[in-house]
This record gives sequence, structure tokens and C-alpha cells, in this order.
Amino acid sequence: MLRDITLGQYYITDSKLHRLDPRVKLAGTMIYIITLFLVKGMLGYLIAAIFFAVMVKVSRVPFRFMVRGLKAIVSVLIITGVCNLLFFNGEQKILEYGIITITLEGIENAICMTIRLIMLILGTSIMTLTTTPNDLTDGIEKSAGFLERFRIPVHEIALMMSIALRFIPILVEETNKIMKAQISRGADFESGGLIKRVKNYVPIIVPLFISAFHRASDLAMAMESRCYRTGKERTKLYPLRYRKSDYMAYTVIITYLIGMAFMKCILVYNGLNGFWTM
Amino acid sequence: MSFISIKNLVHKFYVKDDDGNIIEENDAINGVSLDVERGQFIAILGQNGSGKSTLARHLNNLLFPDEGSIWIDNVAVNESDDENVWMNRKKIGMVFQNPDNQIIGTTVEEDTAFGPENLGIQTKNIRRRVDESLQTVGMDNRKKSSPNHLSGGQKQRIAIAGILAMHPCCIVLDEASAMLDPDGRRELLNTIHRLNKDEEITIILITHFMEEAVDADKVFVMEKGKIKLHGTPQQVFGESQSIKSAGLELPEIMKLSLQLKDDGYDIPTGMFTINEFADEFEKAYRNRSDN
Amino acid sequence: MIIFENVNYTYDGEDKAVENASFKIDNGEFVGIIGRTGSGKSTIIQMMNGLLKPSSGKVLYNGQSIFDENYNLRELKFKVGLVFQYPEYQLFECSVIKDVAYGPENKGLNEEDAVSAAKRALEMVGIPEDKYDKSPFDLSGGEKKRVAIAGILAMEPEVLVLDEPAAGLDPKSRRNLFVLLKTLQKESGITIVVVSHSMEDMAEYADHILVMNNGRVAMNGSTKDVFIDYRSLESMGLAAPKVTYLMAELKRRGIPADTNIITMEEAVRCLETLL
Repeated sequence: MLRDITLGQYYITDSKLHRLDPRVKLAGTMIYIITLFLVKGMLGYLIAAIFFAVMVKVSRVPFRFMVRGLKAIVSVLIITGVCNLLFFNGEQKILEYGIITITLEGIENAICMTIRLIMLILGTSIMTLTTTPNDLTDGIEKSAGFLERFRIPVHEIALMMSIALRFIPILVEETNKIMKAQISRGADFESGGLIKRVKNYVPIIVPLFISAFHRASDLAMAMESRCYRTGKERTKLYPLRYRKSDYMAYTVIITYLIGMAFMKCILVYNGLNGFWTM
Repeated sequence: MSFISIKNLVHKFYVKDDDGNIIEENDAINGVSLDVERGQFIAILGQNGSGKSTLARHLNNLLFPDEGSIWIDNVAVNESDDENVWMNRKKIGMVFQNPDNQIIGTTVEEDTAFGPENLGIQTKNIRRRVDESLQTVGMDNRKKSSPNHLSGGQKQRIAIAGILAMHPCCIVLDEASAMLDPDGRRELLNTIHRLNKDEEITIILITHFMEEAVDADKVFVMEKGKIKLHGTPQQVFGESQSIKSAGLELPEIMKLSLQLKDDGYDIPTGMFTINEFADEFEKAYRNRSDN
Repeated sequence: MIIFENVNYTYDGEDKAVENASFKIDNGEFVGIIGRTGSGKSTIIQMMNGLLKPSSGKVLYNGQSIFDENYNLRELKFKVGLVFQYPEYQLFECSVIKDVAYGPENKGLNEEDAVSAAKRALEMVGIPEDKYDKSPFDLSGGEKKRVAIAGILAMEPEVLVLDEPAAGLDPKSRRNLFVLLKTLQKESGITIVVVSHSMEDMAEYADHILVMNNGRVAMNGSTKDVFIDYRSLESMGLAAPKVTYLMAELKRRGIPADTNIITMEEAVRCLETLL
């Protein structure tokens, strides 16, 4: 039901990947993305895909679950693919029709970009599927802690994020209830032109906002009464602490990065880089 | 001195126009004095708008007096002294009306840990406090649950656990049962009575359910920002006219005995339970039969 | 007249919320629906005005099945007025009168007629005229609730269905509200259906009680018949009014008390004849 909505769709199971420190997963995802932009050739993508496949296996999240996330961006994929195909300035022309020129480089580029995007989405989804939103905010808070020095309230932002996550299902349910109540007063959300339709939603939006503000002020009071104060050092029930497996994971990720970078260097040095390699 | 001592408390609310000028001044609390001893179970009754919630917020230092003073544990509440304010909030916890709007954590145990985390308690001690508190309110089997999946009564018990984890000596419940169903209300009431007895935690229960006040050590009735009646439940509910004019009602059994008395029958009126009433009625009935 | 015939309702991917419910609500009755949280009460009342469609079975209003293809479901909402729990959280207009006129306007009344319907409704719920132009958000909790109920009454429904209308009210406002509902029933002939957790209120005001238990209609009868059977109620986690228990206790002690009693008034009368 509505109460089960979680952002970033966490997949509940237990795996080595689920148990990793969120900071490791954040770093891992970052490195994975860097390598995707580092390489531009089939061999490189194959290695990245193998790395990805191993991670999927370890995460114990069914692959079809990740593919679901792709459906939403099919149109984006097609548009980038087509744009690259049509507008890339290459030399080896294959087809010319009016202003449209399709070149070999264009085709290669379109393929690379599409693969890169797909792998990017799939890769980041591993992180969100194996990390609870709360752990993720914790991880971001810790990893971005250095920003505090620039007077960016990282801790407060992270807390806001996690509270927002908690209240999303409550507000969704509330919206549903207000909508039903206004329908019971004869509200009509379907008929009329655009402006009329927007106006029809006023009876839902106004009460929803008022209620959200009430909740916010209640919550602020409840937090204060439980001794919350900004800018004060807090302790944690689950402090993020690296374990052996986390260091091992870092080693794996860094080895992967260095390996990729090294291969790319060697191939470039020998002039062997290209569509079929990296 | 008493654990909590309030002297001539006045709290004003100001209604301002768009330019910020004060156009109206309302006394939410107008000269309230009351004392609470350690370990007592206090009930505060009153109609909506009688000032009882405002009073509760003063106890938790969420509001500060315009006039008068509040002493908690022999120390005067001092708005400008942060440490004093935090100390008081640690000693006196507060459960609010809406169960959803006071849960901060995304899981039960994370929410319970929120208070101790704010106090800077060490991780291993937080763990212990969380486990103990959840056990005390009987929610230790739901540690990892999302609060969104709990009933209203369970959510309020979580709120209590969150306070217990801060090791308070007093809990104020500000109409905490108003949004609960009868099952939830019973759960909540059983929990606070147990805390009062076993853990010797002072309870201040603000409510408009009369039945919840009958087991209190002391009852205060508020009307228009003032304390109208105070005393034991028997004394307070004995003043049936004042109770009615304060917009309240008597507990059912009490109502019955008072009606009989008003109609000229000789029957005592201080009973709250069915058995107490039946005992007295039986006596009166047998006496009548004997004559 | 509302008739439910073998109605079932299942929310997506969950157990049955309502199972094989059949009952009848006559015109002009005051019906109480009681049951624990999650027993299916809310689902039942949302089917009464067509907000929810049964998975199977029929809901009839004045003899017509409301989920037939050509039945005007929107029209039904004006005939069967539904007041949700905490209706005060649905107010949205900048003045009381405008908010109450929202329903009548949706019904198709012109502005003038809608405003006069709103005025009549506000008068019924006892909101004084000097508050009509105030913002509904400046009212007290009890007043807001009355304004919200007026918002439904202004549509001039034949049936008024309310979910826990007294939730959050203090004893005086609570009593006033039930007296208002009783007056609407007696004087305007509106059928009243109330979901409530307060057995004492139901014993005093309802004519007819439906007891819901785990999605089923477990009991259906006159208020007296239902509350006297307190053992069945207890088996469902419910209870009878206190006075009913008191009478049973007196009887157990050998005093010839009438155990057919559910209200304070009856109890006083009976006890006085005993003394």
C-alpha cells in the first residue's frame, strides 16, 4: 500500500553489499561512473560490465529489478542515441540524405553513449537498491562533512532529507484522504480547460499545505523537547565505522580503477585505442 | 520545595495586524499556581482553549512565563540560560497529541535513540537505553519496524520510549490520547500507570477524558486560564456544578450516584468503579429491605 | 434507503477489508457503526456514497444499484453526504461562508443560492453570523468541525454519514455535536449514520447499531438488543456502556435490577424504583 513507498526503491534482502558502509558504496559508485567516462570502447565496457555483473551477483538483487528503472528513461536513451547518430561530425560518410549525414563515427558514438547511459543508470541503482535511504543520508553526511568548513550545514540537510523521507508516505496518504473528502463535496478533477483544472486542485493543495506546515511546527517542537539543538555535537546509535570488509571493498574498487586507467594508458600509448578497445 | 513549583504564572498571546502592531492581547494562562511532588500522578482537565496545553509547554520550557515563576527541582527556570533549559527538558519529557508528528526516526529504534543522541551519550550506552526503554513500553519486538506501520497506541508508546531513553523523572502527556481509539487509549494509560508505579516517574496527564483522571493522585481543573478546582478525584468530581460549568462531564458512575442523590436518595457519591457503586447500592438496598 | 447486498471489498494486495456485508439502513434512522480500528467501518461508509466500488456485491440507494453503468455517481455524493474524520483539515477557502458554499456550487447552484444554502447550514450547526466572513483557520477546533459539517449539510443531503465526528472534542462540544445530529434527524428528517468508538454516545443517540468485526457485519439490530448482548461485544474487543455492566453486577448480587438498560436515564429510573 501507500505506506510502503520508499524513495530510491530499497530492495530488502541481506547481502555483502547491503552490509557495506554507505560511504564505500558512494565511493564505489563514483569510481564506477568515472571509469565509464574514462573508456570509450567495447573492451572497456565489457570489463565494466563484468565488474557490474559481479556486483549484481553479490548484491542478491534480481537483475530484472534494476532493468525496471530503465523503462522510465527509454525516451531519453532514444533521443541521445538519435542525436549522436545524426549530428556527430565524422569523416567516413555512410549515408547522405539532404542535411542528414550519417557517419561511421556517428554510429560508434551513438552506441557508446547509449551503453554508457544504460550502465550508468544500472550501476547507480545498485547503490540505492542495497542502501536504505537513511544509511544513504548518513553516508552523504559523513562523506560531505568537509563542507561544514564552508558553512554548509551538512548535518541539518541530511536530517531534513531523512525526515522528508519519513513523511512522504504520510503526506501521500493525506493527499488521498483530502481528495476523497473534496470529491464527496462534489469536486470535479476531470472536466474543464487547463486553467479550470488547475483551479480545481486548490481545495486539495491548500489543506495539504496547511497540514504540512502544522506537522512541521509540531515536529520542530517535539524535536526541541527532546533536546535537539543545531550546531551541537551529537552521538549516534549506529555510528558509521569501517570494518574489515569495507577496507576490502575499497581495495577492490581502487584496483578496478587503477586497472582500467592502466589499460587505457597502455592502449593510448600504443595507439590501439578505438571503438573496439577502450 | 516541591519537584515542580509554579507561582502566579501568566502567559499572554498577542494577535498582531499585518504591520506587526499588537491589536489584541489574550491571557492563555492568568495567574496559575500549582505544586507537583516527585512520584505523583497528576491529571489536568479542562475544555479546549482553557490553557492546559499552554501550561504543559511551560513545563517543558517550550514557552516561558510573561509573569510569575516556575521552579523545577529547586532551580528557577531561566530562559536566557541554555544549559538550564536543556537540563529541564531532559528531566521532564513530553508526549504530544498527534502520534505521527513527534516521531523523527525512520525506524522504531532510531527514533528512540534520537534523545540520547542529542544528549551526546556514548554509542554503547545509547544501545542499552534504547533496548531498556523499548522493553519497558513493550515494543522491543518492533525495533526495526517503520513507525508508519504501527497503530496510534503503539506510536505513542514509542514516543514514551523515546523520552524514557533520556532518563527523565517526569513525563507530561499533552492530550496524548485524544487521537487514539479505545484500544490505544488503554495501552497508553496502562503504560503510564506502570511507569508511575514501577519506575516512580512523575506523570502529568492532560486530558479531556474524565475517566482517565479518576485514578490520579491529584486533579486540577482549568477554566479560562485559571485553576478552578483542585484536589483528589473524589473532591474535584464532587463539585459537580463547577465541573459542568467548566464544560466538562463527570465520570459515568459518579454521574449516576449524583443523580440519585439529587433526587433525594441517600447514597454516597465518591465512587468511580462499578464495584464501588454496587457495594454502596447494595448496602442502601439491603437497608431499605430491612426496614 | 441504503441497502448492501453481499458486498465484498479488497484493497490491492491485502486481505479482505469487507466480507459479505448485507444490511439495510432505513430513511430517517440514526444508525451507529461500531467496531475496532481496521474492522472495515471506514471502507463501508466510503462505499455508501460511491467513493469506493465493491469488489463484488451490490450497493443500492433508494432501490437503484449505484454502480450500474448509467447511475449518476456524482449526483449521489450530494444525496449521501460524507463527513470524514477530522473534517476541519479539509477547509480551504478564505472565508467561512465561501467554504461552506463550495459544495452547493459544485452541485450547480448559482452564487446567490449557494450562499443562502450555506447560511442555512451554518445556522443549523450554530455558527453565529459575525463569523461568516472570518477565515475558517481563525476558528476554534470545535467551530472548525461544525463549519466542515455545514459544508456537507449545505448540499442538503438526504443521508449524512460521519466518521468519528467527535474525535478530539471536549465533553461539552461532543455533547453539542450529538445533540445537533439528533436534531437534524428529528427535525429535518435526515438519515444519520455515525461511526463511533463511544458506546455511551451510541447507546444514547442511535436507533440501530451495526457491529463490524474483521470485515464482517457481526451484529445488526436495535441499539438495545446489541448492547445488552455485551458478551458478544466483548468477544470482539468492544464493550457495552458502563451502566449495562453495573446492572448485570447488581443482578449478580441478587438485587432485582433490570438488565435491559443501556442509558444513564434508564439506569437512574430503575435504581430509584429499587430504593
